[in-house]
Amino acid sequence: MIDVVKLYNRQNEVSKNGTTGYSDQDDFNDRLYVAQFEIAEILCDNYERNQKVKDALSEHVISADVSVVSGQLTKPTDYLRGFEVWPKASGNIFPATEININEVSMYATSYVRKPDLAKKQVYYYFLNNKYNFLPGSSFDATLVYCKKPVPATITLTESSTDNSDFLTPTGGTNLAWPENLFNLFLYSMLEKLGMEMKDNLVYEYGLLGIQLTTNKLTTTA
Amino acid sequence: MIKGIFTDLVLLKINGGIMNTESAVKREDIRAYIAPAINWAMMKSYYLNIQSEGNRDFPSQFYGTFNDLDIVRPASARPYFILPKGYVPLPSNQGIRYVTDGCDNTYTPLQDSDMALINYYSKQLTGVHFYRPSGNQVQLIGLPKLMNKISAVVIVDVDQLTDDDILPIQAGQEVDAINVCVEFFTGQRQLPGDKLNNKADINVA
Repeated sequence: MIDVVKLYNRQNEVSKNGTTGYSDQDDFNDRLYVAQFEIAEILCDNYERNQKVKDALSEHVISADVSVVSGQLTKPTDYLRGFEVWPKASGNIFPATEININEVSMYATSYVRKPDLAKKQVYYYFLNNKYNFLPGSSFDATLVYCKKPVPATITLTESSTDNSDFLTPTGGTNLAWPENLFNLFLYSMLEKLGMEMKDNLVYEYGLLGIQLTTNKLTTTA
Repeated sequence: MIKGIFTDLVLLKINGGIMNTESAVKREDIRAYIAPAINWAMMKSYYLNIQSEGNRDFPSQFYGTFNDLDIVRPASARPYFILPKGYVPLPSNQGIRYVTDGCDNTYTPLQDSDMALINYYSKQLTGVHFYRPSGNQVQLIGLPKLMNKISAVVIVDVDQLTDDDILPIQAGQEVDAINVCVEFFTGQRQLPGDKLNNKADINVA
């Protein structure tokens, strides 16, 4: 879990936000929303590359028991990226293969790969925002997917004295990511902040940091 | 060796030890090619056995026995029974090893060339019973009148075996049969797409 207040404070320290401009809590929360999806996408693209990435996504890659009805499965509401579907027969899983749209009719009519639940030959493709299965039967399955990040938020409370104005950050929802991704989130936030404020130094620093940390993550150990 | 192990050994060899759902060659592809590979291995061992020992038998552990099959007696055709599973299409119908009834009568197979003389055989060789397969229908000649059930022993067609059934390969021929399968599938793209996310496939720089 990454503490959103700590992230906010660190971002301000590095960017000298107090002298380069002002962004309110909505700006921060919006950037954080974008950063979470950006990082989730980067990690999903590299999910099977090494253990570091698997650990980084450990809170987000989940399995769910689902029911395929007449060959169709509606994606869960928190679905971000699908990894695998395991149909079940007598409680045991077996493989299902993803195929492309231009392969569907060929598979459906193939004598070798003809879909057949009894022979455990099951294929799926994506159409109409759903998983579509060949054969178009009803069966239970396990869906393994990466869920969407839950938006993390911060609340900034204003207060003033005679001489100064203050903003006190309090965390609404922390980031449901492992703490070792703190730097990646920081760099991603700085990059976006730098772009917003037309601050080349902050932007370049954030960008460089993203490259370095993603390279470290995705380099096979 | 059971069919499931044979299939996965071929799959492992083709994919260099990687088994995932992105593999271009799938279990169903290998299953489809097992029958030709096994039949090839069977015929090879059959002729080797004849050469070395004069032995025309197959290892009887591969035999499948079907008991109490119903005999159908049409009004204007020979009695027959239906084999519940297909048999290996060996020369001279040797996929059917023998047909027998509950009275210790073992039926004699007839060849194409024998059919023209069937009338002669059945009258001269009283007490000898014959069978003649035609697809999965097996005609019976000289069938005792009261007989209504019969048994058949066959080498079941590999296509009709399940993954847990033993393949009819003689010991020592397994590697040849596996290599025949591997050779057939070698050259197909093994891991064509990176639909999943390991970026380790051949089309990803």
